[in-house]
Amino acid sequence: MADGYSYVAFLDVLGYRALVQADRERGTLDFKNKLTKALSALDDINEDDVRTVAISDTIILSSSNPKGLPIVMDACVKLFISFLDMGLLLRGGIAYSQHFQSKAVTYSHALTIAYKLESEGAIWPRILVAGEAIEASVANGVGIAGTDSVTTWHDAHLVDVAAAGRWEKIFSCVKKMYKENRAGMREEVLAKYLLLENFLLSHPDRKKGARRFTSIPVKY
Amino acid sequence: MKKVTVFYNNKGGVSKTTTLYNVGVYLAKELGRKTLLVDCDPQCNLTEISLASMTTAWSDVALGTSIYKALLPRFNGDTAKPDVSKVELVQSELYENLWILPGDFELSLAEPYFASAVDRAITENIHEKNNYLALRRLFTGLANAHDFDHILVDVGPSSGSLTRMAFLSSDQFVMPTTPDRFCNQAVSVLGKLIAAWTKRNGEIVSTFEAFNLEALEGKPVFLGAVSQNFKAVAGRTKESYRRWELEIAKNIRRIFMEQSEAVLPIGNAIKSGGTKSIQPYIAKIKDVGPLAPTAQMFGRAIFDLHKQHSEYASSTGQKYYGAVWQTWEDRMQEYRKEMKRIAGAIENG
Repeated sequence: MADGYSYVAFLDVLGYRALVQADRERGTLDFKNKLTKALSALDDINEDDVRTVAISDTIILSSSNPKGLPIVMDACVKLFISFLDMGLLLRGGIAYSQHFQSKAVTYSHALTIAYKLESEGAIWPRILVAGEAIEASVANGVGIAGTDSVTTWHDAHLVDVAAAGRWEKIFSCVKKMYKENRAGMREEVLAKYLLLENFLLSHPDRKKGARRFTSIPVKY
Repeated sequence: MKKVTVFYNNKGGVSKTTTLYNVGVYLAKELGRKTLLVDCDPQCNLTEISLASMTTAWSDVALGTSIYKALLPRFNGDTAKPDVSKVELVQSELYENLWILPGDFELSLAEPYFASAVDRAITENIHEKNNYLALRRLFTGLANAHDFDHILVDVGPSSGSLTRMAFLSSDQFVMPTTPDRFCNQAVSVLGKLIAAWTKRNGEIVSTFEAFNLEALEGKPVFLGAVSQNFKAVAGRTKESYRRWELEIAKNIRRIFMEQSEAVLPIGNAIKSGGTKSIQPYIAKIKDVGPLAPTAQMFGRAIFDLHKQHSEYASSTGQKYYGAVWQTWEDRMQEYRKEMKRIAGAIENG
């Protein structure tokens, strides 16, 4: 393995600030408990395979294994579902570049690229994968394209959270979350649900007869 | 052996192409080495001279696969490496062991691809990394596929990205020079240029292992300089030329052998004692007068002209005989000796 190169996922918990604020106003730690439970999905992942750091609304996963992209992507899927179970949505990006992480400092080109992907490209709850990371994985002997792990949607590569028999669970969770939060939903949040719903309804594994659950209100 | 040797000087008119072609013929004909000439100069002069003996003009029938066509699938991203199995080389009709990868007038179009690779191959972009390695992979791929002993690479008198990549993709480097002020000026620039190229190459290739890509060493062994086209009287170089020869030698030693930043590995032919005593010239070639244009007419090596060829140098259209032809033979013999020296340096690394 070349010195310092890693696959790095930068994940962002959507609505973090509002959820913390809600806890403060209620004097509870509900959101903290949900976060702890959701992150426990990584408890059985070997730290030698994927290193995890969670700070505030950010979760960073990294693997210095040159064949480690599928492992990072699997961990991302586990987290995505685990957060969904807690009624939380994630979005993020995965990149491959130089990455140094110690107790004192994190210096990372990969994190910068992954963050850029997340902030500029992941406009709805999805985890984008940099094309260069996929190519690097191929160069290191692990082909990703054409597998269940990744899908291409509107020219972007994203972790296919709905593949491998997960579609139904994800669809029902997202639908439930939407219904619970529909009242007073801000337009940008609605747009995220609409795009996620579009993705799920155009997915090859969609359940026959599944129908659109969002609706655009006539008036806010 | 399978050595890739580039003949380079950013100064034009120093007989890079002529010398390379003649050394190529020497290696192929006199030493029996299977030799490939690669024309990396969009002017295509090497292709022109190499295929001059063909009955049909190469530019009219597009003989073989040009170097640009060989690289294009890589630039387009269709293949990770140039596919050498699809590259058709041209065998010389005159010299059995001599092969040519023809040039292309469109090769200038490769310049932006290489410029982008030089700029961006240090990033995570594998396409750019593969473009950065394209020429080296083409050279080694062809050497292995056809079992060449030597590949000689001709480049234009430029410092652009195409020339830069051809230089960095070679194992060895011969510097043709002419003993004059302008060449001396060019040599000074060349030192800085090569230092910058090799430094940047080191930075770029340090990122390759993470992508399971082979490194490009990018430090061709400096085999030495060739001084040529000087005038001599009674077998001795005229003083004015000799002075420039000395000045250039001093400059080469200072820039290529003594400055740590610009140091390239030094070839065995000029390595003796400490660097201070190194004589950088591996050959000194006198002006060959009418032999060069006559050889060009037939695509022959300058040392391989026959009596009948002299008809084309004679104002009467008669072959040269006796003392006049003897002068030609003497010049050919001298020239052959110098080609032998350069070929020896190339063989011995």
